[in-house]
This record gives sequence, structure tokens and C-alpha cells, in this order.
Amino acid sequence: MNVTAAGVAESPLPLTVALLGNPNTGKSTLFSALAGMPTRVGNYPGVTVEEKVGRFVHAGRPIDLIDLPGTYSLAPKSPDEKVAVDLLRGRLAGMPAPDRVVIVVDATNLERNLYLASQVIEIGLPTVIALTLGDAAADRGIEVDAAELSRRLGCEVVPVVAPRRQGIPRLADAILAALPPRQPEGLAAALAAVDPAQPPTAREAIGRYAWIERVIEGVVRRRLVARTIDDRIDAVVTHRVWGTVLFALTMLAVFTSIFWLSAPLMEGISFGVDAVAEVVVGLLPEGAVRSLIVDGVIAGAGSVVVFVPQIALLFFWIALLEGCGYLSRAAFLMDRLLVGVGLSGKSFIPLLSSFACAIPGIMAARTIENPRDRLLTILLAPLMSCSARLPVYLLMCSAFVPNVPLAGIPWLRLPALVLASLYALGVIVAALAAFVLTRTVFRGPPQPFVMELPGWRWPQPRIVLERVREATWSFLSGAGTTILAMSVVLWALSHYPRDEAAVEAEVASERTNLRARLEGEADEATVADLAAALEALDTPEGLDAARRGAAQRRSFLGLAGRFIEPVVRPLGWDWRLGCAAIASFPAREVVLGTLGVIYNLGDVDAGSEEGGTVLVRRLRSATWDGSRRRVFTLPVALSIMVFFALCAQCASTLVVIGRETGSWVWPLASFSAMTVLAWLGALVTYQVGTFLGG
Amino acid sequence: MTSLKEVAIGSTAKVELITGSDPTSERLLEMGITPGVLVTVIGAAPLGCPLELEVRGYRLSIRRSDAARVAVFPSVGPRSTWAGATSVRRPLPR
Repeated sequence: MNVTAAGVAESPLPLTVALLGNPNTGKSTLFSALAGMPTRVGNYPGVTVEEKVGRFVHAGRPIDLIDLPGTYSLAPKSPDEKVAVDLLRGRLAGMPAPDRVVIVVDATNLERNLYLASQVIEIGLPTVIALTLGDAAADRGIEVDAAELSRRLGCEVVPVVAPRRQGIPRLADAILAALPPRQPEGLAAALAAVDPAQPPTAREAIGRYAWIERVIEGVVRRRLVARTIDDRIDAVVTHRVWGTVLFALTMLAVFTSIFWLSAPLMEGISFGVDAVAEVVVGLLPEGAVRSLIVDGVIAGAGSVVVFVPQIALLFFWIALLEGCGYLSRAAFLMDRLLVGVGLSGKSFIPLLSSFACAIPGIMAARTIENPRDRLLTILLAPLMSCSARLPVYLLMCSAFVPNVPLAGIPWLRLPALVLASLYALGVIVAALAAFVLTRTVFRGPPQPFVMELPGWRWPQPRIVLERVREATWSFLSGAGTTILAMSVVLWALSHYPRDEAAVEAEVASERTNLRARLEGEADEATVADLAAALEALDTPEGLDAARRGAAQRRSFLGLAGRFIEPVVRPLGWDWRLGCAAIASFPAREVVLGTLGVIYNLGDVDAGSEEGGTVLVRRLRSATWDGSRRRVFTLPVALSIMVFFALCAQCASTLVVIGRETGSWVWPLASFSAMTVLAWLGALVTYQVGTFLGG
Repeated sequence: MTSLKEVAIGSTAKVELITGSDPTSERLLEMGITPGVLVTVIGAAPLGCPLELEVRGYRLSIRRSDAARVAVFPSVGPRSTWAGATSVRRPLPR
């Protein structure tokens, strides 16, 4: 084309093209068909709305395709929609109005899609309409006369089948050649003709739809279809019984894959990280630098990468369900359950996923358009008991909760009841928190819940993979770097100050203590435990573990544990437990490992049967400093479990909250509130438990 | 005056007006629920809320409480068999 050839010479700058349309119109598929992989993904300044730009070259002209969030109208009701509107009008700081606009219009749903299209055309930027989903429309007996539609709208209409790249070159040609549209015929008159008695908010919609009805007359031809494919699928999927069964099975599949399927992948990652650490250990001399690299940087990177399988699997499911149209049906089915606490059905999948891990759950809250609901879901997600808390529950339950049947039912045992109660506790506290928050901090008019149930279609594998890649990358590049930096800081806090003499002195006094206790002890089991602990101090590994434990207890984190002792004493905890709670902050899943280090066992694998038994024996024989009183009793074990069920001792989760909300206020608020809740819960548990004669 | 909330499942009704002028009412209008349009209540979620509607040839879900603000003329009858033929000015088959 001559125009474009001249255009290159005149303006070396890329042409900026805004891509916008209603949600569920195949906009992402069109984006990737035109521009391929996005070349830039970030956030718009000041908001958490994602900015996605793809650069491609057509007829020698570089084009920057800006993917705008899906929107139903130019009267914005969410930050997503506001960004789209501001960008089109050139009101976004540092971003001039785009050179061209491509409006994605769904052929199966022309009437409603033309509402936004008519508003955009009115702005007067050079506009092209991409008519998508023509194949799906044909299946439903709908035919659209694109040429006639183009004439009536006053701008080019190009039918495309994006997954098969049909019409893409023509669309690109039309983008380059687009001119400012003439005002659509009869629109102004239709808007003026609306009954002035109608409320002002209704007038625009009434006028526009009246105009649209005339525009599509003769442009859209429909064949008689007795029952469309959507009817048939919806009849099953939203059915009282079958719909519920199908929903339960789908959620089971989603949850199973992020809870269990991800486990071998995560183990593989840990294995790889350990292997790398081992290589580095072999290369560097022992000392602070090696410890920094191995325990700080490599372990930190490992703790970032380990979340990738869960995030990738969850976003795989979300993209799949969204792609076929089930995601909004799932929200439809679950809405009623969540309305009571002030949320909508869209929060269900993010909250469900949080039982596996809060991090993918918080990221999944991106599927919630409503900013208030999204924020609330993000704040409630960490209260769901994640898989990292499970080992703590299991160890405490098996070690300190008597394994007795309840109410004479042989299969219903006390530890199982305690475990179930801990899961319920998180849910109940979350519901109460939502109840309180929606009446205080998040008070305001009810948020619209008017949700499209898009037509059923096959998910696009490319889009699914792109979604997974995008989520994973945004976690690694955004939250990942912060988590890594935090790991290094926390490493320093748990390794410094180093005072070798003090460590040796502590190990020596440990030995004296054990001897003294052994002499006065009568109980046979305790004698065996104490003798084993004393014997361990004479082996090189045992001595090393004791030194590490002493070093950890004397580190900044350990000192903080001692410092907070008065605060944790009412919970029935000694300072070692306070240390363990603080030291578990880098990641909750290491709390058992931390307990192992603090109790001089070194790196015990508490998940394994052997490691678990050793840890349990050591915990059982632990006593308060300078006395024979045991630290771990049933009320203490319960108070530890309640504390971990409610606390936010997970640095990665807090970083992701900060990342997803775009502010440090929310992670700080979340951490403070959850710590107070956890402390209160543990306090009540211990005090009531002790009072009842634990 | 009847509202969309009272329309039986499987029935079609003609919208009279949308009450209220908050974002929810505005969104209902933008989504095509305008005076004169035909809306079919396709079904309800297993727990009774929200409702599944068909309007202007597509499916939409709204809560019962929001359906109460859509005033409708008494039911027109069962859903039309034309795929998406819900605009008023097109004559209903049969």
C-alpha cells in the first residue's frame, strides 16, 4: 500500500493501536493473532490494571497494539474500565490518545456489543471493527452482513476467525488505512428522540439500543433454531442436581491438581535447588559468603520457584474454564453462598485455591473485576488453611492430641475432629472478618453483580498457555524478586550476630543441664529421651546441630523471640516457641524445620516418619528453662495450631498481597490484623484449655 | 406492578422500566435491559439466586434483589423459539 510506504518515511514512530471490546469476545485470541506474544506487560501508572502491549510490523510499519481491559461501556464502573476510557480519550498520564482503535465485536452477540462500539465510534478516532466468532454465530444460525454493517456504522468491519488467522492480514491492512469515522447515521437523532420523562441515566441506553435495533435490522439474519447448543449445555450445567454434581467434580479436579498434582513438581524443584546448593557448597570455602549464597540466595530463589507449579496449574484451570465459559457459570452457582458475607460467586475459586496455597489464590483474584470484592478476597485468602499449615497440624495432632474415639464411634477420633476444626476455624474467622469489613472499611453502596454468561466455546490452547505463562512470569518478575530480597534479609537476621564463644558456652550449658535433669529423673521414657539427647551431643552431627540451634537462638530473630517472651507466655509458650514462630516468617512450610533447628536437631525432615518421630520425642521432653515442667501439653499444642491457623507468618503471601493490591498498606494491615487474631485465638485456646484441666 | 423477580422460570416478560439510578441500574440498562425489551427467565442457580436471563440474544445473570428493580408488564408467554429473537419490534413467532 502506498499510504503505508509513505507513512514509514514520514513517521518512524510506531503506530499505536488500542484494542478494546466487551469481555468474552475473543479479544485475547485476536491480540495474539495480530501481535503474537506481548512485548511489554506491566501496570498502568497508579492502578493495578495490567497493561499489555504487543509490537508487530505490517507492510513495513511498526505497530504497537495496546490490549485494553474488557469493558461494556464508556461510563466506567471499575478501575479496569476507567483505564480503557481514559486511554481512548488521551487522559492517561504520559500516554497520548491512540492513533487507531480496533473494536472487537462478537458476531453471536452483535446487539449488546454494538453499544460499546457506538460509543467508541463517536469519539472520532480512526476506527476498525473486528467481527469475531463468526463461526460460533453460524453454529447458532446467525449470519451477519459485514459490508452492510460497515456502511451503517461508518467504519470498516472486518470479519475474522482469529484462532485460524482468517481475515487477520485484511484487518491489519484496514488498521493502517483507517480514517476517522463519519458519525453513525441516525445515532444522534435516536438519542434525541428518547422520551424526556425517562431518568437521565436511562436515556442514553434507551436511545442507543433503539438505534442498534434499527442498525441490525436486515444486517443480522437468524435461522430458526429450536434449541441452541447453549440451551442444551446450560440445561445440564446450571441444573439443580447435575449442575451441582458437575461443579463439585470440576472443583475437585482443580483443587486436586494444585494440592496433590503440584507436590511432585514442587519436590522436584526442591531437589534441583538442593543439588545447586550442593554444587556451590563444594565450590566455596565455608564461611559467611557461602552461607549467604547457599542459605540466603539459593534457598530464597528456591522458595520463589517452588510456588510456580501451583500458580501454573491454577491458571491453567482458570484459563480453561474461562475459555469455555464455565468460569462465570461457577460464579453463578456459588454466588448465593458468598453473598451473605458481602462477596460474590467470583470469589469462590480464589478462596478454594487458597486451601492449597494463598499465593495462587490471591493471584486468581485477578478474575474478579469488582475492585472491592477483589481486595476483600485477597485479604481473606490467607485465612484459608493452606497446605503449608497441614504438617504443623499433623505433627501436633499426632504427638499431643490423645487418639481416642469420640462419642463411642470407633472411626471418629479426636485428632481428626481437631484437624477439621482448624480448617473450619479459618473459614469461620474469614466469614466474620468479611462481615465486619463490609460494614466498616468497605462500607458503601452494593456493587453491581450483573454478570454475562458467555456462549459455550472451545478453549484456545494458545490462549490457555499464554495465560499460564503470563501469570507465572508476573509472579517471578514481580513478587519473586521481592521475595528473594526478603529471603536474603531474613537470612541475615537469622545468622547474625555471630558470637562463636557464646554459642560454645550455650552448648556446654546445655550438656550440663541435660546431665542434671537425667540424674533426678524417675520416668523411664523421659530418661531414655534425655539420654538420647545427651548422646547426640557427643556425635559430630549432633554437636553441629546444637551449635546451629544455639546460633539461631542468639541471632536477631532468636533475640526477637526472647524479647517477645512476655507476649507469648500467656499462650503457654516458652521463648523457644516464640523464636520458632518468628523464624517461620520467611515461609510457613519451614516451621517444623525451624523447630528442629531450635531444638538442636539440625535439619530434620519432619515430613518423614523417622524425622517426625525424632522431632516429636524432642518436643515431648522439652521443659521450661530451669524447671521440670513440660512445655508441650495438650492446651499448648492446641494454642500453637490455632495460632498457625490464623497468623500471617508467610513473607511470600504478604509480598504477593502487596504486589496484587499495588500498595504496602494492605500487607501491613493484613499482617497486623492476622497476628492479633492469631494471638487472641491462641490465648483463648490455651487459657480455656488449661482451665478445663488440660 | 410486577417485577422481573416474580416472572416464572421459562417465561418471557416485556420490560417497563428500570427503577433507581445507581451503578447497578445503569449497568442493567447498558447490558440491554431497556424499556420495551423482552427478557426470558431461563432459570435460577441451585440455591435460588441468582437468576439466569436471556436478553437480546445472550445470557445474563443477575441477583433476585436486582431483578426487583426491573419492572415488567405481565408475562408475554413462553420463550420464543427464535434464537435470540428478543427485540420488541421483531414479531414473535407463533
